[in-house]
Amino acid sequence: MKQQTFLADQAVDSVFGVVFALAAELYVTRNRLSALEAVLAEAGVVAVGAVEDHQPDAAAAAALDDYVEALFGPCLAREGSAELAS
Amino acid sequence: MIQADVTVPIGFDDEAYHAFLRSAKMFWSRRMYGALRREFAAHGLDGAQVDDAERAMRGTLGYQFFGWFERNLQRQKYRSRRGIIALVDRGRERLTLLLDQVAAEGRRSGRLSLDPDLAIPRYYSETEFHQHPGGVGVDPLAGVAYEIGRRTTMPLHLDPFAMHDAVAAAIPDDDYARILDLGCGTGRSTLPLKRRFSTAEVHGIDLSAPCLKMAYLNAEQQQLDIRWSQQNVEQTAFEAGSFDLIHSTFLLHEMPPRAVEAVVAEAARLLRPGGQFVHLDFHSPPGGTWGRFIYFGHARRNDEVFMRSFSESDFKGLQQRQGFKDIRIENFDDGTGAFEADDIPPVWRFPFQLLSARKA
Repeated sequence: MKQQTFLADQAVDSVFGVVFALAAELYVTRNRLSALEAVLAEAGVVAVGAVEDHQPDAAAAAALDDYVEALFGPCLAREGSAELAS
Repeated sequence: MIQADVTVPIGFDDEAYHAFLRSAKMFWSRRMYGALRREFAAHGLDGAQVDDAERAMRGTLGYQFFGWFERNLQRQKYRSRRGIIALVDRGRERLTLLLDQVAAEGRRSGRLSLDPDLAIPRYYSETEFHQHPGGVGVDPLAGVAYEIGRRTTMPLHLDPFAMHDAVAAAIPDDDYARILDLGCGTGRSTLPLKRRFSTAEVHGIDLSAPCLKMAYLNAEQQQLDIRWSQQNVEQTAFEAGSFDLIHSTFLLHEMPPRAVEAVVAEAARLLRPGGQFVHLDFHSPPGGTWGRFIYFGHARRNDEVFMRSFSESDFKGLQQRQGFKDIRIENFDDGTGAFEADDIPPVWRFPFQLLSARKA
């Protein structure tokens, strides 16, 4: 698929892509958090400090790494990009 | 009836992600479109040549963001880590096996005929129509992905498949014995034809085997007896004069001019005298320079590479030369209203039109 640039240049376009992806994931997270809060409140199961003390396991940590990789993918060098300024 | 569950598992967070994209698209189609329209008018571009208007608007930040959203919302929908392709990939093994079984069942029933040796035209294999990754003809699960994609392509308050019923309802009443749906895809336009003209022998043809498998499955699940075959609409294997009605939905704007000419010639060959030729498509957008600016811009940003050439072609004259009469291009209400040539739609929409003619 051919690259199309709409904003000032390819860098700004990519930066906005990152912002957009972040915004999307923040939306997803807020959605999950509010659902979770509602569920936990209904069940009355959350102990004070339980979230702060929680340590993610290896799979959860890897998932976070994957997330970062996907998020910043648009900033990776592209073949055929514009020449470097001399 | 075939019991085949081709739904794709979509998680809680993925649902939320696509809700975000839909919400962003709503913002784009109403607020960004509205603001852009005001800016366009303020610059005095109504009445300008469309390419001059395009050049003038490119410098504005509003148009730059409008363009970014138009292209990238669709791109994210398919290609992001929560996009349709990633979702389909999660069920790839199961779904591929399932569709193979569906195809085998279709062959046995005589209602699905695939042709692995069919020559695929280059314009089709090389175009990622509406940014569908790889196009809709290659990936065995392209039909599954297409069906998911359709649900978020239309204006958000509309049932994406309801307009096909409206098209079938708009076709002149007649005792059609044989009906052909060209470029039938997953069969969404074909099914309502069989429902409305239930005694007719209905055929759907398409280049895409993955889509035809889905079409067969959709028809079987609705217990509709339709014949599906993998053929090129430019040159089919059917006998001359063997159809009473030939229809297409969203086909012509995806074809280069010489392919459109071939389709019209083929339809002229296949229809009996007096036979109907009816399409739901986009030809002449309403709204003057603004309408063309928005529509041709959409074509460019969404990899609809033949939209503009079809829009600027003399489709009436082409049909006339092939022996059609009663040639009409009418604006079609998709549920957001029907717009006449001078109207400016208040929200972004496709310029739906019903194109009809009768073979002399």
